[in-house]
Amino acid sequence: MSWLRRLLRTVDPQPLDTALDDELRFHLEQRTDDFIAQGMSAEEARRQAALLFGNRTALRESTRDRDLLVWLDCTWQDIRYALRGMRQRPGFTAAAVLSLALGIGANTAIFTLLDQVLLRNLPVRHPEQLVQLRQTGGMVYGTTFGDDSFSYPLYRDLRDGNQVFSGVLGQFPLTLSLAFGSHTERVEGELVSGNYFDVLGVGSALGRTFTPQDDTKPGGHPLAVLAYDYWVSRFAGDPQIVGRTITVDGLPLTVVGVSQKGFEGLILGHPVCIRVPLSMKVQMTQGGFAEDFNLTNRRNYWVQVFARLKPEIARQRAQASLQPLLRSLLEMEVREKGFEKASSQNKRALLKMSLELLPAARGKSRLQEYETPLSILMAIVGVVLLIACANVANLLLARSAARQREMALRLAIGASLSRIVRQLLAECLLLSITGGAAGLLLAVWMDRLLLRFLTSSNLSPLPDLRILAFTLAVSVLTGLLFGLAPAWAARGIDLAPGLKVDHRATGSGSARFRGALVIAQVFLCVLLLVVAGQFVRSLGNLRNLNMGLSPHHVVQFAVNPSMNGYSKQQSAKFYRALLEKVRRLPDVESSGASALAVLDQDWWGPAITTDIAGPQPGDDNPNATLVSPGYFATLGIPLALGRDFTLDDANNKHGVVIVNQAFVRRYYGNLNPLGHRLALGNEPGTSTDLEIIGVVRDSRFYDVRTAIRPLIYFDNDQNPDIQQINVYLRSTADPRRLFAEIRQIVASLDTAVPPFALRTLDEQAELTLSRDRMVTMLASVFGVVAALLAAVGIYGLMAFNVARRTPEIAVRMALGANRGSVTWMVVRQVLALAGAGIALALPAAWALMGLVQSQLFGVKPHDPVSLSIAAAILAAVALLAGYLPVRRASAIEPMAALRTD
Amino acid sequence: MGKGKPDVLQGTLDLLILKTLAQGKQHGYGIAVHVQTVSNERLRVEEGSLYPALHRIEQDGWIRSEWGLSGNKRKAKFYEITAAGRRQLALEEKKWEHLTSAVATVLRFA
Repeated sequence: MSWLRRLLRTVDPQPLDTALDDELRFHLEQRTDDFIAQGMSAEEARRQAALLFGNRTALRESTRDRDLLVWLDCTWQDIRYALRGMRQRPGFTAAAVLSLALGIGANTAIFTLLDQVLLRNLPVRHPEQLVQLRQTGGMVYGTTFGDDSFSYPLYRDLRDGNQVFSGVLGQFPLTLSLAFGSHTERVEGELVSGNYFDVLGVGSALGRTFTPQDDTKPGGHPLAVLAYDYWVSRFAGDPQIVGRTITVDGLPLTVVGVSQKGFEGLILGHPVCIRVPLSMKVQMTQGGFAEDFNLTNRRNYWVQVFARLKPEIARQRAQASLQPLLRSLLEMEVREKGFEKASSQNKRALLKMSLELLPAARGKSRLQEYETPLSILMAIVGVVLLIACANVANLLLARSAARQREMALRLAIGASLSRIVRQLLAECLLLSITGGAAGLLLAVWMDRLLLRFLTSSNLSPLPDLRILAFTLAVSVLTGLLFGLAPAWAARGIDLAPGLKVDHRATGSGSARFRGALVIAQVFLCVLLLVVAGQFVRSLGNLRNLNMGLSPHHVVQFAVNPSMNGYSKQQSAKFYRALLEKVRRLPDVESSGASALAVLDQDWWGPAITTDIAGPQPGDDNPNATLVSPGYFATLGIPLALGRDFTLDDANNKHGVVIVNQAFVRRYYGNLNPLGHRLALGNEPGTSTDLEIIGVVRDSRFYDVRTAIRPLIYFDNDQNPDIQQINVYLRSTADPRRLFAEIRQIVASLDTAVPPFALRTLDEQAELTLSRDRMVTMLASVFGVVAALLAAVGIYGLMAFNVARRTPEIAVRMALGANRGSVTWMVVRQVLALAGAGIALALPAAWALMGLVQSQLFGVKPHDPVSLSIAAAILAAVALLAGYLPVRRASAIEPMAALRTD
Repeated sequence: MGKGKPDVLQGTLDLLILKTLAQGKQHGYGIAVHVQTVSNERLRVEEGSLYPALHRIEQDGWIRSEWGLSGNKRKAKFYEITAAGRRQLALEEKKWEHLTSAVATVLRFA
């Protein structure tokens, strides 16, 4: 580390000066002593000594400059020498830099994303104190948006009754339509409690944020705070926006301010554009069942709750101390009016609920589903980097073997070993930093590509300073790692043989080491290929899955007129007009509509009652959606029993439903379900007023991957109170040709109700596979990269071996060996290397396959097919890489080869 | 190895330092005294060139240094010749003999 010491000295010359001063002072004192010994007076001796010494400062400076200059000179020389070396061997340089760029680039790209998804804290005050509340163990007696949701009264009671939090905030994410000037657009919004910004410690960039006084009277605070980025992009950073009025879902809101720059919200990967007080809930969400999720209902859970722990209170302790509070609140609730019809079973199930506090320093990640895939990818790219390192080490070893004579010569004419090692290291660092720089560019490009797979994310493909530091560290470490091996090999150079003997015959020890490196590469490569193979097969299974519906030739789009302030009646009229018009488009074979988009990870799971003793409460509720007549025919879901809805059902008081086969199996077993009855809600005494008129075959609903669950289809037309409607059209021609006409028709009805999610159903299905596609594509790309790197490694070693053994082979051939046996000799070596790597990898891969199992679909955890394919690919790659050296060996002309020696 | 143009004087100083150190560890002052004594006071090493030279030669790896205590218990920096230094010394001695004999030949002819 003398480089480092010197560098430090350059920055701070003090230590050097002190040492030099000590050295010079010693000289002076010694001379003074000598003069005194010769009989001079002490004074005279000192004077004479100083006189002889001359200008001490000048001396000191010239000596120090010497130190520095020599160092700088040597360093510059090292760099120049390394650059010359790189220029002289363009093939070597390109191979090394490319290997490193791939390895380092892949690592930087994945780390850039991983860092943003998993590692970065929220830009709020003391993020480590933030927790998210989650309810577990109990059954909500009502409807819930999920286990991170609470009823508003429960949120309020927890906020006001606890002893452990310095603040508790509530929020509810929603999509809003925002009109300003002549332009209307859909934006991501959030209803937040009045203390939201205070609890987080997030300030304003302009105007003010909300205070608790802005959130007291239900419906009484038509205010909005804009997010910084949205203010910049939509309002061009106009400072006059404060006090202006914008129209949100048809409701005029006054902008009070813009929140702090850099703050996007608590849900990572989901930037919010506008925030409105929670007290406006009922006004901001109209239609459908939304009104049941209000500020007073204790049965419906929708508020997401985050809290800030008091500084001295640990998360576990806070969690324990909240349970009695929750219990007393729930016990109070079940005595209230809304719960009077609840069975004792339902009440007991509710009272089992407990609270869990999740750390939320990094917010709640919508990208959490990407955590495991990204970690797997991080491991994969780490392995790619190792393979790249092995490659470069291999290249350098081959080079240093070829350069042994040069090294020996330089040592012989007096170059110090440290000087040579230093120069080797300089070469390696220059290579790795060049590779790192190229890798950085590659990383930005790769991230841009990757981010296309992460829908609705605001991650940046650009590495920040920390990532740059990471890349630099990886580059330097890599340089040291693969640079030290050849430097170590240089250590053992024996001068005399090094100079005398032909270089081709030396270095058998390093050849063995290089063989080991290649085996390690093959080993790692097989592991990668096995994992990549598993992902490829999993994606194939997902794509070829029989979903129970035929998505080809179907186009979908959605509209939400309630966002423009439509009443229920106006919305219903809008739908009727819309469906009537699109049905008459050319090539449209059939059309249908539904309240929940299919394959869109949308979900509704109401409690129900059936007319026979079905599963007990506590079991999962069935899924449900609302569809129009023609929906099943349009999506290609075949009817198994009974009939589809008809237009007549809409005018009929008699309620009807259709269920899927999974529902029949679960609730009716072998009975014929037609004519049986069910109802929404599970209070005792609920009358079952809906008749099952049909059974459709099972089909995928939530997304491609999720298993089929019991599903009830209600009649859209019998329940006209719907917010968003999803329209499906089956076309006899290319469905994409309908896009323009659909836009035209919707615009002709109302320009302020734009269509969205306009795409083919095939595209929609593919969207839900984006995560699988991303992982599979990357794993495959990295698998190919790894195989290429390993091929280069094998080629390099074999080419080197053949060159080294040319005289030996020539002698063999001169003595009668035929070309076939020479070829076999080299091929055998290639196979031995590949075989050793593969043999070592198989048991490891067998164990590894279990680790990625959670990410796979329909692939067995231990699958010999993937193993065999990976092994076969690698064997083929090895033979291909060995082809040229083998040909060179068999083409050796014995006489010519021996004569040149 | 790019040390610029080595003038005869500097080369001579290097030779004297290496030769002195070939006989054992010594500090800067000791080297100066040694050269002076052995040459019967005919050669005097200037401090102004001795220390820069010592530091330069150390950079070249021909000598190495460490701090120790001198005979009268003062902290002093001792220099020691390395294997590379010995090789360099042999080279320099040969060069020097070559040079002096060449100069002597010229002088005889003149």
